[in-house]
Amino acid sequence: MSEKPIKRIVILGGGSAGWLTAGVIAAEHQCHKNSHIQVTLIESPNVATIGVGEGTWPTMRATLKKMGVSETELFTKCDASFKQGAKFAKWVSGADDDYYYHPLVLPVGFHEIDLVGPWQNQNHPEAFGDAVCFQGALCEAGRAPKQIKTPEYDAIANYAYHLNSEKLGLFLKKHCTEKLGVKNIVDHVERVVSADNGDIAALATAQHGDIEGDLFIDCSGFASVLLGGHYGISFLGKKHILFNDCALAVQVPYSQADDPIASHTISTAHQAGWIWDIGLPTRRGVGCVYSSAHCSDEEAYVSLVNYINATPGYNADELSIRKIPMKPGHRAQFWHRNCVAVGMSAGFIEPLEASALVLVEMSAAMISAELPANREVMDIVAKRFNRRVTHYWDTIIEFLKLHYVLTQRNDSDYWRDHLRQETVPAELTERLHLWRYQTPNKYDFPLAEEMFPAASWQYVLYGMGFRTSCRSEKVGQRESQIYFDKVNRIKAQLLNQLPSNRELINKIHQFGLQKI
Amino acid sequence: MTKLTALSPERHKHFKIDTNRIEAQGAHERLVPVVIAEFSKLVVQYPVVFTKSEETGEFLCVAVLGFEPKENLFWQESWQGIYTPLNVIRQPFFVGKEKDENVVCIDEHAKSVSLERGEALFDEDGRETAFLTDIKAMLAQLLNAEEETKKFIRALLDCDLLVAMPLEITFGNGDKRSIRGFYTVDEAKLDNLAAEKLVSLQQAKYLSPIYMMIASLGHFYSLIQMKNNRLAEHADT
Repeated sequence: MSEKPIKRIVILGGGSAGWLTAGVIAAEHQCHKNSHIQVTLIESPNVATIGVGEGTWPTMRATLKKMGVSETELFTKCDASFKQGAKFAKWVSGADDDYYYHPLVLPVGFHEIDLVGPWQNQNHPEAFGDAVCFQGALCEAGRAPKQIKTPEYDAIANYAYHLNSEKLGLFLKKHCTEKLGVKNIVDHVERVVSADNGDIAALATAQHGDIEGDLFIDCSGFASVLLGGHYGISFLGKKHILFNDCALAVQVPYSQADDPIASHTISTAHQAGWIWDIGLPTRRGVGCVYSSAHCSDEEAYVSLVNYINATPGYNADELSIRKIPMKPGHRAQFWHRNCVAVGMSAGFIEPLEASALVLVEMSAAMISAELPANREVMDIVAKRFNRRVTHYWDTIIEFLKLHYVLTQRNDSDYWRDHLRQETVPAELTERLHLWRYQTPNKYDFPLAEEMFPAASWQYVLYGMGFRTSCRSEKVGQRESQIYFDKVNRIKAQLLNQLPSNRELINKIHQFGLQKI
Repeated sequence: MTKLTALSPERHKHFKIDTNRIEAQGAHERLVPVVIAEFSKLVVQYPVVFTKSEETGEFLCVAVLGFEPKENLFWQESWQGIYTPLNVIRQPFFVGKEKDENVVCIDEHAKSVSLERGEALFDEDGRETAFLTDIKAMLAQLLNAEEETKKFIRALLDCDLLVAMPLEITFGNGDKRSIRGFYTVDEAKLDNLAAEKLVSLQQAKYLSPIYMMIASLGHFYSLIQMKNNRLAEHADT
């Protein structure tokens, strides 16, 4: 151990995780201006990256803005579209009219008043999400979250993106190498060169010799070449909690070029899993997630085809369907010695709440902000990083399980098994017990940078039909009515002002968004 | 209602334009798009700012004539300004597109258009009159000037010189208004602009319109005064 300064950062892997991480670090440390921090990204010439239509969290806007990326270019180069949250269909009862929204806008007056009690007590005619938030109505009407006059990255209604993650990787690669001073080496890594102390000294490449570094970031995807392969850090499987281990993915062209583009992710439950439906400007990305223990590939295939064919004008027979195996779980540690894993090399979980890219962003932001000054303090940073990212994984897994554990579906072993106590994390069981008497609040999630805010838990919890016996004297009916009225007022106003999602995206392609 | 039709000797042979009623067509314009070629005449009286097109989000230069929707404080039975913007006096004519070609269009429902009174567009043989020839020349000039103005805006955006200009106004009767959507040149950024960018603005002859726009902002005070006078008149009646 020494006070050797950390200067050379080597990232292995050029997917969206690798380039996002490179961009976050290079932008913050101003690598294009002869900074003493140097970021090098090594990628193989012909490793196919996994490119499915993917959802992000609103954090992506701040992440890209900080990197100096033009939002207009993101739309034109990455098939991006607006995402205003998720619609969960058939998760509660499985009936055709069973759905709820998990929007990205906080419940009205979230920091001033708890509306759960009044909403329950007065048997509000609308679902929780629609009573306390205007955004579901915008989604139902296919509206965009902003206007063409709204500057880049600014929102009228909070939003994230749907995009082609493979194109995002290529787009960020160009930006990182041309604007942010990231060095790119396209080569195969043949061997890890160890230092005497057990650190990684260099990555030996086929054409470019040994690439030395002070910190190595493993973005090598499922292969987890450095953290899993070289260091043998164990993988903690989570299939006993979240059963899904397979997906069938397909690209569905629009039946008409001007078909509406949904401005939310649609997640529709089926007998043994769920189906994602992500609207990009050029096509929909649809996929069937399922548990191989509960459902055969053929059954999943039928679920997927039936889902697609249910919309008039669509026929899944002509489309090519790709099977993607999934291994839910994460590494026991994420930062070991001078090696830290970001992205699928760290772990993977079903994309039910679009947690993959946001976890990359949060990991990269922490590595960048806490970039160890020298090797001596790196272990302290590593310990903090591991503690935090472990917490993130725990909350992701609990939050995803929340979507299953409150179901009333009884149509298959899959749904029944999800309710079995031994499949529910103890922390979640405890939370649910507490939430019988109090609503999820900031004390449930005390970190300044949580994965999912308490509002998200409320949306899913009460969307799934959960009841909390609130102390009724806390909020008066008249006081709460002011807030419910406000939601309706904003709803009417925005439905009047906002263009359709496709209309705005077309305009962005034609005119661009302004920077101010 | 505006109804634009491509101008043709067949359809519009007997149409006449009452030049005394042209300015009246701007009676309810709160913002008029303007071009840098007319800045020196505009900035004597009007605040000239940037705003975004509702349709495309792109920046435009506009002269500000009022505060409320459809309020033109320069209109009081006649145009009360020394200079009337080109985009007002070119009416009822517009330049439209037909198969990528520019064509002159006319708003047949405009107040100045009739079959009875004013300047003829075509003579008995269907040939265009000197009046129409002048109009066409003016439209062509305006079209060029609009292109030039777009380049000006593009250059300023490339130098990151635009800044939002929120207005908080209290009128004489105590009414408060927050006005959003206007932008101007950021003087601090202009003062600190890198030398090569400054030279490029100078060579393009953009420094003069930039300073004219900045100086024109003082006219917001006279515009508020005009509004106060109008409010006082209404209070009296």
